[in-house]
Amino acid sequence: MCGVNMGCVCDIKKSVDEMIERVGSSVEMAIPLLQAVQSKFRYIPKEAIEHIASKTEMTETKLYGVATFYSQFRLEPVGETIIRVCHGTACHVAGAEGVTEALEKRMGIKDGETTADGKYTLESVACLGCCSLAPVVSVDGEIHAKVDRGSAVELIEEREKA
Amino acid sequence: MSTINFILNGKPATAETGNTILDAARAAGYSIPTFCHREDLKPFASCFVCAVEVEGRRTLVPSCSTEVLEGMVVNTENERVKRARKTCLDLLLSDHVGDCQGPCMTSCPAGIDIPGFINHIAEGRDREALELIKNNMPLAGCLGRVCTRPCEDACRRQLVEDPIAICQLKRFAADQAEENSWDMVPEQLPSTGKKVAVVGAGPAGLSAAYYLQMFGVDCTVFDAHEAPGGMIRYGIPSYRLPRNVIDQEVEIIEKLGARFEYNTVLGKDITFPQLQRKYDAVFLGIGAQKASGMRTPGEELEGVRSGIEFLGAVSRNESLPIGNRVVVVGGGNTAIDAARTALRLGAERVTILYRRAREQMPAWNEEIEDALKEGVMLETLAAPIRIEKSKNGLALTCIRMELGKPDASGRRSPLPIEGSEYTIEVDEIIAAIGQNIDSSMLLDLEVTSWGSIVADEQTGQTKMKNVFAGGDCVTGADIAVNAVAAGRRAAFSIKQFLQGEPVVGDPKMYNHSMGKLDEVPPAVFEQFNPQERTAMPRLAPKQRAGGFDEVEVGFTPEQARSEAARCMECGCRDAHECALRDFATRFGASAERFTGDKRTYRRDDSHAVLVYEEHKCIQCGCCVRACDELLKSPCLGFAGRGFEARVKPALDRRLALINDEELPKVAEYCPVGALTLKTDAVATLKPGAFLTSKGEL
Amino acid sequence: MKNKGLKIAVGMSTCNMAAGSRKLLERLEKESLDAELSTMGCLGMCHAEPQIRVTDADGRESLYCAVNPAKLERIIKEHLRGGSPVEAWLFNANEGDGAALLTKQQRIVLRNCGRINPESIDEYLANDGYKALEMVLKQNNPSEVCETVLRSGLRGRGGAGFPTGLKWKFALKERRDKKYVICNADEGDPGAFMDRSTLESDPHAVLEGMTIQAFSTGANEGYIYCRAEYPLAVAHLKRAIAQSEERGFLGDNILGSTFSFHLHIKEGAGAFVCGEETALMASIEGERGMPRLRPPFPAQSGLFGKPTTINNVETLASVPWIIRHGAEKYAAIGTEKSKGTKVFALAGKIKRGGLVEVPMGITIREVVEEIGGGTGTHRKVKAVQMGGPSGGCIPADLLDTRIDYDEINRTGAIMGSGGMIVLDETTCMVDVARYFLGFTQLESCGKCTFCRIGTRRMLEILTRICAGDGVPEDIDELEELAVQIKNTSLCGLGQTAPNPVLTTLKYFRKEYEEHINDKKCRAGKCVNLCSYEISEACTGCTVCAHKCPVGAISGERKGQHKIDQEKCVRCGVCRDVCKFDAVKVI
Repeated sequence: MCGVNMGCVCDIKKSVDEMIERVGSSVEMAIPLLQAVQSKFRYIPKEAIEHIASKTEMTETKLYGVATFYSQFRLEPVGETIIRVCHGTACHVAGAEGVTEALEKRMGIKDGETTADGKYTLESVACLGCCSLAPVVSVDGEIHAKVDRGSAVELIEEREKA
Repeated sequence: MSTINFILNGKPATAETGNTILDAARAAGYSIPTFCHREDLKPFASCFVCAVEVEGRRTLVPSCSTEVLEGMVVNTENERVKRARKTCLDLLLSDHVGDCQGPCMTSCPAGIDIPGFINHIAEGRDREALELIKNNMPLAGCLGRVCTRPCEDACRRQLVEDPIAICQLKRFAADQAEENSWDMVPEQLPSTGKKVAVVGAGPAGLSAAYYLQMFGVDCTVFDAHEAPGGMIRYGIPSYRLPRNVIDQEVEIIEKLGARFEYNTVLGKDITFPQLQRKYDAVFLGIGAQKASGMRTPGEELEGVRSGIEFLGAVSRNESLPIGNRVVVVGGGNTAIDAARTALRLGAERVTILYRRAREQMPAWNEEIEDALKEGVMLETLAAPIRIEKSKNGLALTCIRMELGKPDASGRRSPLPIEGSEYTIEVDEIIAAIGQNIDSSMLLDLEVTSWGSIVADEQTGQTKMKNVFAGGDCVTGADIAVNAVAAGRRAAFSIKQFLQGEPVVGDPKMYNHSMGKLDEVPPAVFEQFNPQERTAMPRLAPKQRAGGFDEVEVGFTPEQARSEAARCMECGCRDAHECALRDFATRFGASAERFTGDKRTYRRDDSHAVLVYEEHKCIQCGCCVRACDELLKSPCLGFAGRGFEARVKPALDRRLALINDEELPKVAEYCPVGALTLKTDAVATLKPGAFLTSKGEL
Repeated sequence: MKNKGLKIAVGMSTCNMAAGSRKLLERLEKESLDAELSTMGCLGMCHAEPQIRVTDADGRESLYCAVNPAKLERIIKEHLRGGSPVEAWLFNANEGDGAALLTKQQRIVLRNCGRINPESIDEYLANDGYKALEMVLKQNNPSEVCETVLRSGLRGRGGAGFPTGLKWKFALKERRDKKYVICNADEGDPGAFMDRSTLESDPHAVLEGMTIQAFSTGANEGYIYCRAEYPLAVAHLKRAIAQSEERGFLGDNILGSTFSFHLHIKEGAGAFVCGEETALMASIEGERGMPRLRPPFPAQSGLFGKPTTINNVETLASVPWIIRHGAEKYAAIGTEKSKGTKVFALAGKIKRGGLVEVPMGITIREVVEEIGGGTGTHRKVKAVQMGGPSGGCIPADLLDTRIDYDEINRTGAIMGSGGMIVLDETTCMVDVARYFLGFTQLESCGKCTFCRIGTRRMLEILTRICAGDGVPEDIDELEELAVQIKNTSLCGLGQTAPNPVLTTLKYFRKEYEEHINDKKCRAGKCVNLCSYEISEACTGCTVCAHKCPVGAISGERKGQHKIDQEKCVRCGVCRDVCKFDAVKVI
């Protein structure tokens, strides 16, 4: 019996069936469906693409093409916590590169990677739209304003303590 | 449909309603390059190599998908358009990973389709292999024995273990002609009625005559010697190159219609102006056969002679009294040949005297090895300073040398060690230290200060438009394969000259390369399991020294097939039809202009018939659209974006996992070599293609 | 409880929340006040967030800016419970900074932002909401609406500046069974947030504008294509659509008319190129966002092959105001060819960053120096970046350029969607160009050769220059590539991608040459090309030594500090934190 371990194949199939039911199965629903898959599994398992293709008129090739085109989609599992450093123009001129650098150093990973313990994923994001508060960092969706090298690392450290 | 009037490259032109600029321009006889456009697919406009200028538009427009409108003013070949096209191609090349031709082929001066002929041998098509070789190398048997093999230095197989025995496989193919009594006389174009004088029956002259005869031009070959071959006959001993091999290959040239006039010395028996008057063109392949002196006091003494003179005399079967103690001065192949020949003539003690160290010897290493095995002695870091008559022969005084600091060219020049003189007693001294060109009989023809003829590197044409030259007389003493290549280039040029066409020689196609050996991605060679190079069977050293039998006896067919099977088939299956290569050649594009990140080498040959090389893809999208629009089989799609955008099967699967009969059809839609069929040979010049494709030049 | 009948609105826009407003709201929720606790969007004063507005029973409004938990305690005690506003903290629109900020602004698009609760349709209705739609439906003359919009002079605020009324007329002309309208809310310029703020703070204004757009072009179905990075905007839009449908402003037979209009939200999935309209439509259709060849134009054959009109958020949010106040009133604002107002997202090295809405025709200097208050430091403005990755850098000596499509185009920059990033002497212009090319080459859809490979090659050249490996020929090659890429790309992304390089080369060529020839980065940004030193101006306050991430600074308290060049990583933190301008780039 599956269900304990989310991400096992029949679990994925069951969830995807439910999503197709809810979102729709026409070709134009490719992005919403993939978004639904990602919001549930936090990434897009390849089985989900295979299953959508088998149940709808969408093809694997198209779905894979879409999933690799948009920066929102991930085809690999991510860490429990996603840290996004905004690299919009305002954040860039306010030192976002330094923030990413400091976080890379603290977590021992490169931008776009996940820590070995699966706790954190570090990402760059084009713009979070909080340019007047630059540089900003989002930790699991919560945006922190006017971050610098030091305070960015503190964000992690606080989490570690908690 | 109504007719539209517009201006095309400054001239009034017409088109049908709905025609694209590309259609209309092509109909008007203009050629516009394109990768992404195909008649059977919807317009896509991705490659932009077809961009043209429409007056009034801010940007260039893709002609493949822009409709012609009434009154439009279109320029398809002005400077702005050409610059854009070249940049487009430069950019595509900067992100293209692969080789058009394998490194062996590009390093072969004659441009022999090496992977092609090796593939034929591997599959037992020896005659096809030889025909392919002969497209570039009429003296396959000769060069198969004496070539210095620049191809093998470049061979990628050495990244696995050792280079392929390319040269010996070439010889194998050539040997099969005699073995099987094949008539190897190639097809000829109809006679043009033109006559050409070829001076010199060495590798350059023979090569020029061979191809000129094929082009329907009548050649008369003049040579000062009594037999053909030039330096390969008179400079290379018969144990390395049996004379019948030369004779058989020359016989083919005779059968093609060339006349040979031996014992005819230019400037004596016939003059240069006479030739120019009598013939429509002249090819000079007179070589560099004047031996350089040692500039050592006493070198005029009896018992001292040049290597060339010595080998030539042996070649003419002049019975030579040879002393017991022979010293050969020099480190090149001629020195080795002279030493080994002296041994065969019965000398007891043969020493090679060379002023640098062994590593610096220009002679071919295998030859040095063989000489040592046969008993030749090597005395390096020593140079002659004086020769005197002695009681029993000659007293040769030498001085020890040491290597100084590397000079500008990186070569360490030898410096004498003071007080290290020593004298040895010898019977015979052979000086093999270089050759010069005697061009005095050429009168007004432009020559350099050291006598070499000034001729265009690409065409062989001299300042006198009807006179062409190639080989050692242009380059100075050089390897035979360069001379053969020069003769062939000149044949193309002479044909063009005789037909009143622009003289361009045999123009080189653009060639893409993965780079030097150390730049080749490991994935290229990691897939090959080591398999030792097949050793050439040789006569035992004991059997050799006594006579002039050929030392290397040649591969057996089994050995040849197994050796040929080692070939990694570098080079592109599509090199012959690749649009990128074609356009790069036409627009002078270069992969060097932009340096930066490149695609990763990623070859998928998991499929039964289709091979996908992602590193060669140019993202034109033809295959993707063919899948979508024609095959109705979405096997391939776009993935990723930006610089990392790729064409991939779904989920980046291996092709073998795609279960679709239609899939192999996509190969036909790829304008480059990214998608190819395994049945396409790597052979870039298929046998028989020579006359039709080149003959129509 | 002394104080009754209060209304308290807490700023709960994304920016407010980033500044910490959620804690304030939670605190207020815990305090049992006899007050209506509500939320509001963004007032545009992002530099002074979070904000709380208190409306006393008598209607007096008090706006508290930059509230923190400690400040809130005093506000609760003195104002919310005690009834007397904390006067010292009140925002004053009539004098000082408040006046400087607001006097030159004119709010049409942002009319309700930060004024109303974006989650309440009633508050929108109470502020003339859906009046314009009623007027339009009553008149029942689509082509008249197109004319009105055309006469108003409204031009597309997405950046290209195409006359909106004309676009609508083209679509209206098409006689087809099905037409679409699309709201482009895929605000892609990394440095612009006008649309986010508008959608979060006043979603109904956009819905109303879109419904009018649909009516005027003969469409009955529409899509809002909103970037997924704006979850709050999406949530507010969804709620607003549900409310509108419930009240009959959306759906079948709107307000009893024969006009029906159905609206969907499509969340983008992260692709800048989807701001390009053909790519956006491909994305809605479930495809990769790869631009398509034009013609056919969307007005003839757009979404699903049907006539389609696409407008951006700001354009649509302007429409209800134009209908209500008349084209003439709108056209009276601005310059000859650029009418109305424009919203800018003011950020970068600026004292009062945030959203500002100004009449067309005022100068960039007025926006930056008067409204924004300049850099707020001793450093001078070096340039203003407008138009994001498609735009360019306008140097300080051209700050008197007026906000006008054509005037800005003449500088080599573009009006763009409204991103305005102020740069000072600490900004390296080569690095800015490198930053933008880094962005565009990642965002290129990868279809066209020049954009796909060419932008990468430009980035590589710029990266080399910033690393100190530039050669003089690099500048020529950059210029050549820039021209070629502009010449030969299918869509706007490629055609404009070289602009940041071209404008910096035009105005700051010397900096490129210094990088290449002198191996110097005067801004102190390119680490291989600069070093930092502490001058005699140092007071020995020790701040830099504390902040230095690598411990490269040493010195006695009250003594001049020193930087160990071996350890220094040239991050520039010391210079940023030094209050005495003692850290110099050499």
